[in-house]
Amino acid sequence: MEFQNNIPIYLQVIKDIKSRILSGEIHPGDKLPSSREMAVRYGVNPNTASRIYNEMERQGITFTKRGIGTFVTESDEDLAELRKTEVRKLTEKYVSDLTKLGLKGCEIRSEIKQYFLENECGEK
Amino acid sequence: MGRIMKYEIKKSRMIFLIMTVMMLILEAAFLIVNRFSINGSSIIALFLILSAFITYIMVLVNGVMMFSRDMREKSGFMVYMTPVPIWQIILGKILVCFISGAILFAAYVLFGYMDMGCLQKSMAAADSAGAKMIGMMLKNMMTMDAFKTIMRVLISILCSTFALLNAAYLAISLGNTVLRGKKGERAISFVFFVVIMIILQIISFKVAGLGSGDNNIGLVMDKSGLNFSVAADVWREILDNAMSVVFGFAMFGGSSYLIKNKIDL
Amino acid sequence: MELVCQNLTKKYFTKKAVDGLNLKIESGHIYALLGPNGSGKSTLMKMIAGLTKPSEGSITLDNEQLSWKTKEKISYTPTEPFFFGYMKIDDVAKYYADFFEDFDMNLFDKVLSEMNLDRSMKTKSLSSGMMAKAKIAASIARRSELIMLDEPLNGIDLLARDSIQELLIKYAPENGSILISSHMVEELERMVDRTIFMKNGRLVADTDVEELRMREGLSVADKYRQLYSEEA
Repeated sequence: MEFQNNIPIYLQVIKDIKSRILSGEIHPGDKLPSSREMAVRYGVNPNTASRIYNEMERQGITFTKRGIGTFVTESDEDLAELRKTEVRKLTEKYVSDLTKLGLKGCEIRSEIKQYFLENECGEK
Repeated sequence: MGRIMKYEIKKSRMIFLIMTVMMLILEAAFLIVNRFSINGSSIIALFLILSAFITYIMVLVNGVMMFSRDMREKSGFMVYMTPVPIWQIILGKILVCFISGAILFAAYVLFGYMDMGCLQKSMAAADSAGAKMIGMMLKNMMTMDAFKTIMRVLISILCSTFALLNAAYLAISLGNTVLRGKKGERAISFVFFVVIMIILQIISFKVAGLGSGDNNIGLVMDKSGLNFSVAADVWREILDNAMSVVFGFAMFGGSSYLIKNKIDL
Repeated sequence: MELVCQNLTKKYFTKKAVDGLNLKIESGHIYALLGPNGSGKSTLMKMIAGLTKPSEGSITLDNEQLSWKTKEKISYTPTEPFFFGYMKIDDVAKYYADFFEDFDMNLFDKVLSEMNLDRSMKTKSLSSGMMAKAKIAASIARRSELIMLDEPLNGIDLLARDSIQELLIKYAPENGSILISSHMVEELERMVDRTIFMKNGRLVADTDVEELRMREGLSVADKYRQLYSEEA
């Protein structure tokens, strides 16, 4: 995974893990690798890996069973909350980027409508 | 310290092997040739003597050079990173050099006596007068008295060698302390070595009174032929030997102190 | 494990290679020791390793003055090859096992096989990448509390660099630390969590890397440029 070196790495890894949870690559209840294994897998410092797990636990994305390991939450509410937060973040970024280009709110809405008309990315 | 010695030996395997093989080949050659030709075996005998000196020098030079290299090259890290007190490291190196040299030299002395015996018999049985004369000389050298004399000379050589080795180590340690890493390190070590040796000789001369006239130790030519001579006064000789050993240890102490407190790899 | 340098100085004639350095190295981290050539990085490491005596100041490991005993717990790996010329990797393993109590032969063999190195290889004929890996394998298997690597990635090809980094992350001691000095600032960005910056023998900065990113929005490379580019 490519990292930006001027943003905390642990946040970038967390983002990556979150998207893999949301995309279904990682399932709720899955056991995550140990902190050290995580460090090796992502090629990051072991303390950074610990930070990742601490933060994800704090956010309720994972939980730890002492002596057994760290697991992805199975709580539907937590996962729904996660999805909602991540989607909102992407929206915020998108809107902010377009605003920087000079678009106003209604113009952004038209743009999205237009895009889906052209692409027919339909309902799931 | 045993571990240090083990690896010093391993590092020098090649040299020790070559020296030993050379000695064994020459000795074998001597024994074989002696059956056929006295002239031939006499020549080989000379080679053996030459080989003995070369071995002595090579072993010392090897020991000193390895010590010097450890100060200047990265392989020194391998030695000085080990959790062993510095004095043990240095003593280990000195002992390996000294003892291996002594062993080889002792082997030469042993072979020497054996060969002298063989040669003496061959000479005595030969036809030429010249051979018979040399045979007589050799017989003289193999008497108990001559043996004692030779032993005294060898002990003196051992003691001075011990001092010499330690002087070289001290000189190298001084070089490292004074001029670490700069171009002149080896040159200045050599200068220190010469100075130390001169000082030792002066002290030896003044205190033990050796080095002149009756009190010369070494090989001399006199009316009865080639002979070893020792100091007329045995006590002077013992004093001189003792001083060599004591100074040797003192210089070893100096090297240990310098390296322990001023090491700069 | 705590290594404290107090007012550490090393003088060569008129020049001070290390000048009044105060530094604390703690357990559980991977430190990058950074600075231009001649900033004193190697000298610092050699003093900690006991291969060079300080002119002034002190170094203590867990409140104990450095001595031949503390050499058991500290390992230093220079940039260049330093094994004895006659040695095969097998000889290196035996040497380390002979001198270092904590040397873990099983770990050494494990790391060797991961690196596709074989005990029968002569160290003289190893490529620079293989030699770098062999040196690090020996350091790691020693289970030292402080592993110091002096420019370990120099002249090493990309794939070997990647393996070495993986090796260090995988086997970083939990009760100890790794101190890496390097020019390859960008290569170290992900692997280290603390950086020590030196200049002219002095300590310029000692930072937590993620904090640097969070508070200042700077990568280690950015910080390096910030600290050293005034020289230009």
